[in-house]
Amino acid sequence: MRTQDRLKYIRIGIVSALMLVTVFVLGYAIRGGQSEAVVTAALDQQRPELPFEAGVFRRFDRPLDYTTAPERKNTKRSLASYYARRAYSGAPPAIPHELLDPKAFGGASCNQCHLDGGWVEQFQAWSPVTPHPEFANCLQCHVPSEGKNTFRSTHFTGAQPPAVKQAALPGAPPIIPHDLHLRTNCVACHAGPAAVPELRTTHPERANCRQCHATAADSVTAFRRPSPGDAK
Amino acid sequence: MPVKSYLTYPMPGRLDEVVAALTAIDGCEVFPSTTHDVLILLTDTPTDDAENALESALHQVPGIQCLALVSGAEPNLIQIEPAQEARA
Amino acid sequence: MNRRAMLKALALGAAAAAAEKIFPGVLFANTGAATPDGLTWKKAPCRFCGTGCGVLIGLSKGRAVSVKGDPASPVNKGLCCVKGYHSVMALYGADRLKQAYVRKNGAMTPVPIQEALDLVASKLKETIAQHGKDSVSIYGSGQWTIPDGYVASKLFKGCIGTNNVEANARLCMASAVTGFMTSFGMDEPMGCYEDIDHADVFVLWGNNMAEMHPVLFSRMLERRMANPQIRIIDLATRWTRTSMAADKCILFRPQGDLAIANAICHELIRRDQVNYAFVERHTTFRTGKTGIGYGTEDKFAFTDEPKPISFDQFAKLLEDYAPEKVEKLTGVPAHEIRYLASLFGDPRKKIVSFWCMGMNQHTRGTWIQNNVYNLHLLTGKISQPGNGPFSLTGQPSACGTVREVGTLTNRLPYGEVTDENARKKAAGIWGVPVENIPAKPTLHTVEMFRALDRGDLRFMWIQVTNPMVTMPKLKRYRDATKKEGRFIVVSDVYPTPTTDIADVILPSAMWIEREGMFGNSERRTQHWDKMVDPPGEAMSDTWQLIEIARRLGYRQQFPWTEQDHIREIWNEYRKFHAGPKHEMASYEMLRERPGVQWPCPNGVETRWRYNPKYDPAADRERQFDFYGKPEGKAWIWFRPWEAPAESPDAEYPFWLNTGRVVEHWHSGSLTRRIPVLHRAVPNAYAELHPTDAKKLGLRTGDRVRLVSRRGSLVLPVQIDGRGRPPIGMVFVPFFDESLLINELTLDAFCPISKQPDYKKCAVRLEKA
Repeated sequence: MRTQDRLKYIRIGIVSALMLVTVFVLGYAIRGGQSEAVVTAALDQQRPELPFEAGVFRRFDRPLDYTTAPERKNTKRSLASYYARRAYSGAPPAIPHELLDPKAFGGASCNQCHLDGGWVEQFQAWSPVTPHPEFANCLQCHVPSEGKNTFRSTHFTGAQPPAVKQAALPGAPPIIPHDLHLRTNCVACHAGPAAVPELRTTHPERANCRQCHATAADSVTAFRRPSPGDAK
Repeated sequence: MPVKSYLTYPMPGRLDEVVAALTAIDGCEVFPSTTHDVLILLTDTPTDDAENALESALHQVPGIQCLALVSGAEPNLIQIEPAQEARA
Repeated sequence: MNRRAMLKALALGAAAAAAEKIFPGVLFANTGAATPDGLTWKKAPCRFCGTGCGVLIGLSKGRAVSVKGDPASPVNKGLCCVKGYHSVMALYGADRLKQAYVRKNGAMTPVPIQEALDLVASKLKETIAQHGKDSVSIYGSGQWTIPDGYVASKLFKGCIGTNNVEANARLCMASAVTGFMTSFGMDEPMGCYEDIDHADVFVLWGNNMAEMHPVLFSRMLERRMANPQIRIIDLATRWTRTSMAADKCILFRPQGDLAIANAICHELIRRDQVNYAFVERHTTFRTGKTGIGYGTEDKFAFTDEPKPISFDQFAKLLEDYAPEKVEKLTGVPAHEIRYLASLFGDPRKKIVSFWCMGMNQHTRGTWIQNNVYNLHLLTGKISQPGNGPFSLTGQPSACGTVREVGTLTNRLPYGEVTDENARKKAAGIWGVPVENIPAKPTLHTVEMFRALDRGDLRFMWIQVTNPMVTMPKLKRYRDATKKEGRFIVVSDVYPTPTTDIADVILPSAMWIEREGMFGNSERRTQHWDKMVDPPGEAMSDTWQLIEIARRLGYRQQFPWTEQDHIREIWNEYRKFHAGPKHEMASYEMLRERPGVQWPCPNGVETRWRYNPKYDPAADRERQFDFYGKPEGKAWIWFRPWEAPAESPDAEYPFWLNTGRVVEHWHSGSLTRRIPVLHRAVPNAYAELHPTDAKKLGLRTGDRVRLVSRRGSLVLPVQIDGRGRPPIGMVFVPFFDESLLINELTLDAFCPISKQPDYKKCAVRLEKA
């Protein structure tokens, strides 16, 4: 055989050998990796965030000490001003102040004041606390407001706010007259120095709010059933 | 003449004694607390002399630690609107 | 009101307000005059759950118009829940039963109540004459007042002479009772609610405490807020509101609780964290029979055979319960079980176990109670402040009436019917010949309804309960009541599916419309006065029973006047429990105080039983004295895991789990007539895991058909509302009489307690 041919065959041989070795090694590795399928015996222990149940218990792990928060006069918040910021009852409030960072989408930029509240020297006001800090894209729903002008006038009248303190009996715990969507964390709005005074609870230390305060479905037919002696 | 209310603190353990003594005095209505050692005393006298006599009697009741005046009003000096009068 | 009177009222109000600032929660003696808000306030225990909150009822012009929590009550300290706050509204539903009805030619005809009572008495006599004493029965309730239950027991057991006396507490607490009796020889918890103020760890064994005992749960939350190291562990088969508040939630497979408790015991032994001194001195070991069945056949009978074993034998039996070995069975990863074991095993941690229906409504209900008691007995964490197992009660007086008065087939106010001394005692106090009282138990609740079906039972009087909504395998028992020759008398306050099948309906006075007493979970007896008049001819259950008793010729045993009868009944009943182990408070003490715990020898309440530091009935020479058992030693039972009666299979691949919501009480007959509560949860639903819902193409509001071997029901779907079941389980609340989920459930029960299992049977789901 000529040297060229021999070299060619040697090269082919080495490459083939390498390929065989590769196949063998890969095969071995794959088989080795395929250990016995692990039967997941345990239940999925990941606690879900029940959307209407989880919120009520938040913020009690670092409770605000409502009794020592200093009383500041002229806090400017009232039920009237609360609703003035909202186009209708249940609408997301407009942002009454300039944005710290107009380019931010929200998140930490807003939450530095609105996650836990607190006295804001700049605005001489208590910062309202958001009931839904888990939604980080604040500016998706809350937009700044510049002045009171309109482009053209409007005839829109929004849904009227519910009356406060609707209770079935004198002294009974008032019902929850609003939808729970985005508003499951009661203490965010109903407790603390930033809370609207008309909405403030007398007992912010009680964590299980829905133990006493019932929700109210929108339209419900009263419970009726036949009585004995009713014509069948 | 005036109608007065007091918060009365008896000395420890002497609530019943104080209640008995005060009830015996003319012009006194007693409301003992069922949960704490304190009682409300409501007094109402027809004349100034009676009022003075009552006050002396109160100071002489043994077993009272403290008598705190909460409110007092002279009915004849109170201006009541006609509407209120009719309602009341 | 003249000027002077107005000023006096103002002055009084000012003083009261000032006092409130200085002494929060202060109350002033009711001089009969209304407080400045125009209302008179009187104390009562709440009408609803076994927490037994103290409430103050606001009365105005003969009506109950408001409710406050009683600040003087150590149970709830002025707080209630949404049902409690609106409880008085339950008196005023528009269709309140005000007169009696008798079925004539198929139609319910109103009759004067005396005529109805005549008919009931004559039917009773007739049935006894034709078919014997054991053909009549009474089915009462854990919502019976103590006098209600007492006169029922005296009439049926003492006078008529039948042990066919049962109550709906058989469906709710029977396993708790047999758990206590087998482990400790005496019923009811050894601790009290004050344990909440001392514990470091709370383990909830399958109960949604945030909704079901909300006031107690709030006490736990309050304690945790002040002491952030407190841990609340939710051991559950589904995610609930409680899970949202707990520090840790561990989901387990239905019936897995048996193995979890054993696995924790195994770990305690393996890690040498057993309190050997305690175990040696105060406990003894037993095994019982296994493979004990499920009671689904008529006339099922079971008697256990306790056999003594040693600690070593006990440890050996637990080897099958190493955490790794039970992972598949329980669905709980081994490291979670080890975590639980570390809590029980740490001698510095005070631990309270709470449970309710999850462990009681269980085909091995007695066994799981034993297993949880074992955890506290092996570690010596029992009968001390903040340390101990606590079986929570569901109904306001399952303890006070059913368990303490003994309105069950096998019980007397003191002791078992099988005990000759107990019968002699009852005969003596009741003034009846001892031969009247039968020596053998007859029918427990499920068997009672089966006997009605077979025709062995011909007469049933149902009071304060709604079995036509709550019996498992409902269709069989509903059909039974409609059979020829069955006479059913129903005493209730509203028309219900049970009054629908009645032959006679008697209108009952409700709660504060008559004087009475309840007994709550922590052995606290609470009294209330009559506050308002019942409507129309409505009559208290106690008085209905007395009227019947007299018509049957037993006036001598029921001689009391309407004025005094409650006091006289209490004084007579008290005699059964005299002695330091069970002494009940005097009538006067009950009237004065917002509840008194028993035992209260010499007027001093026993808060922790079996511990001589707190319990005068316990032997002073010992550290602990479980005096319900011989030698004062509690029994540690080895109880294995056994499968539920019916598990999901290829044909019925889902678990059906049933339960409650905070807004509704039991079958909804009271709470659905309270608009606030009805509007909060207007109807029942089927709770599904999102993955299961997606597979079936279902969203919240869609309709799903549940089918079991016994029936089918179409329900609206709810996903991620009040709770989330695991994959493969559907949860349905049972308060809705138009969606009778019990048509699908199975009447399998714990062979020892005879309590049915409402939490486990198999269904399949179809999009409807």
